[in-house]
Amino acid sequence: MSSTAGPGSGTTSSSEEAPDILDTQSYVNAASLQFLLQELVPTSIRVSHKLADTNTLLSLADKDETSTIDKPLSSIPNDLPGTVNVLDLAALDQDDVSLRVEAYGYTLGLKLAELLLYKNTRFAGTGGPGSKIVDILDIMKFVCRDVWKCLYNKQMDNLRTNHRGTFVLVDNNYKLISSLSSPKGIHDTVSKAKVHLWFPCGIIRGILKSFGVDGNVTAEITQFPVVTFNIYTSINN
Amino acid sequence: MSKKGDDIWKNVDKINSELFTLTYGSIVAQLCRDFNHNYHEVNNQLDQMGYNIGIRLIEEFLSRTGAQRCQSFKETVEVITKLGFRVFLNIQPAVENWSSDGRSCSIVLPEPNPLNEFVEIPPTKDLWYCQILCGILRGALQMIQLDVDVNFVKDTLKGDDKTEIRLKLNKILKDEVPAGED
Amino acid sequence: MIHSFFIFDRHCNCIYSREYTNGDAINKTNDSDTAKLLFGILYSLKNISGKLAHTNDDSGFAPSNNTLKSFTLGTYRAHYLESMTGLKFILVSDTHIDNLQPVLWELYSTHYLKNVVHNGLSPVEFLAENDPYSKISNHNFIVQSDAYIQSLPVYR
Repeated sequence: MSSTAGPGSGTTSSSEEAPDILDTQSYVNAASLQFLLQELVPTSIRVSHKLADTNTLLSLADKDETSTIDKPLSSIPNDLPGTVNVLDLAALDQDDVSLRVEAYGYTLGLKLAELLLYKNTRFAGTGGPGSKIVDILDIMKFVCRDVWKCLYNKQMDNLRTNHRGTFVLVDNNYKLISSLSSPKGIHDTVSKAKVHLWFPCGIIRGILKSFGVDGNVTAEITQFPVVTFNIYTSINN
Repeated sequence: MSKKGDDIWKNVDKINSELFTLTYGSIVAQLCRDFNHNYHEVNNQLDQMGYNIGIRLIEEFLSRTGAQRCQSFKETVEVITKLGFRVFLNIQPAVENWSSDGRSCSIVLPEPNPLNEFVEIPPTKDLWYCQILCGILRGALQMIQLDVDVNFVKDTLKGDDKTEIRLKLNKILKDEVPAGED
Repeated sequence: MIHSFFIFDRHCNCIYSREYTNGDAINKTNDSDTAKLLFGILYSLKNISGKLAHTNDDSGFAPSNNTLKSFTLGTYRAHYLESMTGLKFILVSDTHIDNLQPVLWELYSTHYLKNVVHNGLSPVEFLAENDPYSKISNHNFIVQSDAYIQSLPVYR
């Protein structure tokens, strides 16, 4: 492994800095997305649990129902609004839950590449990174810089490759898990945080796919909250 | 109050609204696939997600704004639209159609908004695409002791003339009493 | 000097207790009697302050402009802040400290927000006693709220 690029530790900055006169970009509160993403894993568990139920066809809703504070969210024990007991079930059908979380990311990744490239081509000539993507390493740099900046207001901290299609991307403080802290201790925190990581894995796989590259993306927590993404492609670079 | 909304908005961390739109879109799309286009089930999952978000988001809202208890339900709805929607989604919906007793009204979302932009949903009358918002409002209001019905009644994605959420105040909940007291 | 720190939820349950001067217990069961007594006093004082100010309005929307902020008993002062969501934050100090309202607000709006509300592994609705999810017991909340309280000039 040799180091080919170190985007450096991107610092969080306000998205409204350096406004472009042509840029009609609109924004929402980052907390809104954070709250939404926090529900991905519990929702995936509930959906998996519901679909695994042999009586699914009978138990699917035939009318709209509204949530209330004392109405269980699923048939999982103690799964009430505001609780986290549902997360303890994750280990039971981990594969199905992981696939579901990954798929949310993949769908987003496919569309996100389109969005970011469209924005970049609008400013062709201004040196936007989208205008000079020619090989796999450019795609990885696009993920490290543009995609991560859009998602987390920071860049990936490190990018390495073996020049045979394998890439390692490191985020030293991965935002989606950095605020997680389990009452049951660090071991529980790490094991539950891992499920969340299928979301960014899916995003990266979706981005690659939108450039016509098939890849396999996995993530590991090296030292919480440092996350290492391992990307395997069949392209020699 | 709009001025206060502007001031708070200036200081929050922001993200690209299209990213938010696409993320929400990918969630709805996958729920539709997972439940084989049983849209009642999709609505219910979105409502649950929203409810869970609402009971957490209210604390973020109160911490950010330092909002105090309102004098009336009218004021509550004004705070929701001018501060709540403004601070979290950077939009300011209109409030219309108050009932004579002051307990029901409609929130009309601007078009497009950060949830429904670029959406093309299959032609169905059953899916309420932005149902998560109803869950959020109901959950957040529950935590400040307001039992409120929140439902969509119109959606431009279904061909209606506007996207309208109906609110109805049922009752104001009392403080819980510690065990042994009465 | 700050002696202890308590949080109660809207269901009147103690969801966090921390001793600073009498040992350094966190969420210990033998503190629960103290917590219950403390809550009982606060509950009564809160009720009487509302009654004295005649804010009993049927609409339920009347703001309580006679809110309880602290009370003193002998050599102790209990400082009190209640969020609109019914969370009650209490710091018990000696009588040399007059006002800890900004500190209580910081504990709510920063520490509780960051390490409970934004922590997807922590509940915000706490279950009955003797369950791992009946108290705030995550490492980040304990360490960060401790560091904040112990950094205050009035701490010792």
